Amino acid sequence: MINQKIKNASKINNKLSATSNKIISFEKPVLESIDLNVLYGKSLAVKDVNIQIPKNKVVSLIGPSGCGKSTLIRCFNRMNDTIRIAKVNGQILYNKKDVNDMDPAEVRYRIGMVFQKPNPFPKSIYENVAFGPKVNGMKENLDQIVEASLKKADLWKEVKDRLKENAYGLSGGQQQRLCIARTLAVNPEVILMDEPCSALDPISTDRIEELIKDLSSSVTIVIVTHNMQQAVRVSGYAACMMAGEDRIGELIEYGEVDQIFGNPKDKRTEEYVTGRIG
Amino acid sequence: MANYHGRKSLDLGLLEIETKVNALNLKVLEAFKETFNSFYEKDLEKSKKVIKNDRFINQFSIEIENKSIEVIRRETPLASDMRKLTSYMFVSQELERIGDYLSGICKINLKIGKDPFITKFEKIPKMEAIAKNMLKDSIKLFSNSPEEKKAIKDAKNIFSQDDEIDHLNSQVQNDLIKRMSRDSKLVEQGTYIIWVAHNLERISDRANNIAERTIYVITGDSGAILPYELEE
Repeated sequence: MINQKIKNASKINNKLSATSNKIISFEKPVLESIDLNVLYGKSLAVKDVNIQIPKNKVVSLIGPSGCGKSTLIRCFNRMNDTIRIAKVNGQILYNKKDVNDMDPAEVRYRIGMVFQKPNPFPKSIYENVAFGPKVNGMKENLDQIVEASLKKADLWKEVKDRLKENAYGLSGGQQQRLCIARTLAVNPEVILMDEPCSALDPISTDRIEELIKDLSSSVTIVIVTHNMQQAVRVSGYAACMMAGEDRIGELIEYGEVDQIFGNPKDKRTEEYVTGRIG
Repeated sequence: MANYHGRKSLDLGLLEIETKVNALNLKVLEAFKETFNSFYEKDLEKSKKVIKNDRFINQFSIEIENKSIEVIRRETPLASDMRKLTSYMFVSQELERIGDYLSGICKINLKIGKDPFITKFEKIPKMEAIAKNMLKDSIKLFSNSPEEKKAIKDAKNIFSQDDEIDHLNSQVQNDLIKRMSRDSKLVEQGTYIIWVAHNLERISDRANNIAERTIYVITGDSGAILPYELEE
């Protein structure tokens, strides 16, 4: 009986040594960064990030401000191309294809993005959603695409009678769901979200979170968030980034959300999620 | 860039609960001492006092639970903070149950009253010493929360005493049942004394739970040590 107890106790040490690797990996990731380094001018912002994003899952990126979370997700759909001084070294693979070998427009409709502040175009609600399909040469079934996208974004019921009205007339939360509908209209495989709820009230935040959970059955979502409880609620996996004294961001831990927020392996993750640093 | 952030409100909440848990620990240890002093000395007034004071133990346990819920609601803690807060609730309930077992022994003392004991008490004091040790050690382990290796070593030491108390409990039962079957006059007090031994055995189980919970707080692994697996 005592021996059994001692045997059980020693399991702890075995478990720790067997899981000393703090970064989870996946067999068929939809997105992957390999030895990713990003420089702004001469200063290194993100160092040696190797991360794999599993298909149809929600992955949260957490970490203190300035640790490189936004820089990292902007690499996934080549948004850093638009920043003149940004230099991205290493590889981003989308379904095993280097995104640098793809047409940037194709990369961005396969891998859509939703930003912190809702940014609808100064057009009608309908035109906002139809914009992507039109640019991509789709002329038929636009009405169906708009309706289906607005339904998926949980906005249809609220706007179906005012599709021709200017999108700026919508509330902040509705505008953000419109931006999600606009992203969905081109049928993306991945949606990147950079603090999508930080400018929204609690009810609008709740609706976006529900939407994220619903969408994850068919879309992969990578979400940057400072709201730890939000990460726990919506995501299956969480990655923690951290910058040291040198201000260079690194991926320090990546795992299942229960483990990251329940029992982090890295001391710095523990300190961040318990509010000791950040 | 990582900066110190400050978490004054959470730290104050944790400190307040920890202070209450420590006070509850002292109350339970005091009740333990008084219970057995009153039992061996047949000090019925002292037994009554332990029974009366059990409500303070209950009250402390409720306060710890309420305060923990309040801090969880207010601070939405994560990781080790969450493990600590849920464990404060768990441990305070274990201590509350230990208080009930002690109070139960005092009630038995009142039932036996001034009648002379039918036994010389060899095994019960042994059980009492072991249970008290296990309780003290598990409380110390929980309060000090040492680093992992030491915690596991200390927990194993607590668990290892459990076998002996189980064994002594069986011996007390067997001895008394044998004697009661031979002499029906011994049945009443014999049953009471079996009950005292049973309560001591239950106290040791609760002490095990506290140690087990401490290992969970420290390692984050609820399956790391499972004393219940041993009860085959």
